[in-house]
Amino acid sequence: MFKIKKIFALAVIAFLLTVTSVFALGMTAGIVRIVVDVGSANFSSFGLMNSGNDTITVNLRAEGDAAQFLEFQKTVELLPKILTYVYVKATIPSTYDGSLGGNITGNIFAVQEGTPGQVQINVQAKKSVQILIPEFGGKLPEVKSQIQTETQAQDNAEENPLTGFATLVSTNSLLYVVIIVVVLFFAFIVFRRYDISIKPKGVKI
Amino acid sequence: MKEKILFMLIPSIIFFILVSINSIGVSFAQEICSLTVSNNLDFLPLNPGEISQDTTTVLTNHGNLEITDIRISATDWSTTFPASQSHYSLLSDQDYQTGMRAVPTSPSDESIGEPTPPFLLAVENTQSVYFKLKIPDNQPAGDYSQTITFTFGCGVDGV
Repeated sequence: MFKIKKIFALAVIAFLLTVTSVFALGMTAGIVRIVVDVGSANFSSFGLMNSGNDTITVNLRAEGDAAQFLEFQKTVELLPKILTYVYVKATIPSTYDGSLGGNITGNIFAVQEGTPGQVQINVQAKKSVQILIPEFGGKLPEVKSQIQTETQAQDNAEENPLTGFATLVSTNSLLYVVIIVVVLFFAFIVFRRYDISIKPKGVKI
Repeated sequence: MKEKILFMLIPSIIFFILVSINSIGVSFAQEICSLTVSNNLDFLPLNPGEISQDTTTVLTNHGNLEITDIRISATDWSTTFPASQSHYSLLSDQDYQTGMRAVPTSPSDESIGEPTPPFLLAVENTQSVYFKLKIPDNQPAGDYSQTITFTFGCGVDGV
């Protein structure tokens, strides 16, 4: 029985090694395009994902001409393997005189800071942003319907970004424990029933 | 015989079940680029005028979409000597002066794949980035630090 336990323990240790924490920042593809009339506001969003196993915090900032018109969360906490959407609001004041045209561009950066040391390494995701103002000639490219479809897909994915069993496991870490307990219980029953130790009870070697 | 089979089989099944539970968690429906950086860098103590050995970090795309561009930038070394004293290359054992590029202070300066851009990192592919540091002549002794940032775009709006 001792060897069985030893092998089982090795299997569990090997499993634990596979869940060692990683330092990873993910981002959905595509440009954030927001169509806004002068004197009004509109929204769009993009997704950030933490592909590691620990919760991380990322800092967001905007650069470029569009930055002055954008509002969004400056800090986002990302749970492991959950796609989190950042909502971006673009507001064009009624006093806007068109000096920047009808197609105002910029970038939003999401930064995950590394551990301080002699050389600290940060990972930064860059999301391009376009603010389109129809009154000043800003218009969506021809793939308008495709963008709308993508937006719908994002909305759907927001509710359930992961597929299959991953959704359950990612949202409830307690499930990991329950599954492991069930597996251990199953293994215990099998071991008891078949007595598959090196020195089974009742057998003299 | 039956016992021997079970002896080998059961731990294997348990292991694969556990690994499956772990790996299934990274599947996702959206198109995502995900950049992982393996570790921080350490050039070890150096003397003024000395060039370090290669120190490396590994980039991995754990997303489901190719990363179209990755850029690198860095801060100056504790604001005392320039970021460009750090050089990098995608190949190991390159000469500091002739085979490596100076790390810029802005990510807009260049792709890490230059002079043959764009640099692509396919899904689940890795890329090692090698760094060397040269300490300026007559640099006073002290502890100096630098922050290196890898910036990436995803899909059609690569950086």
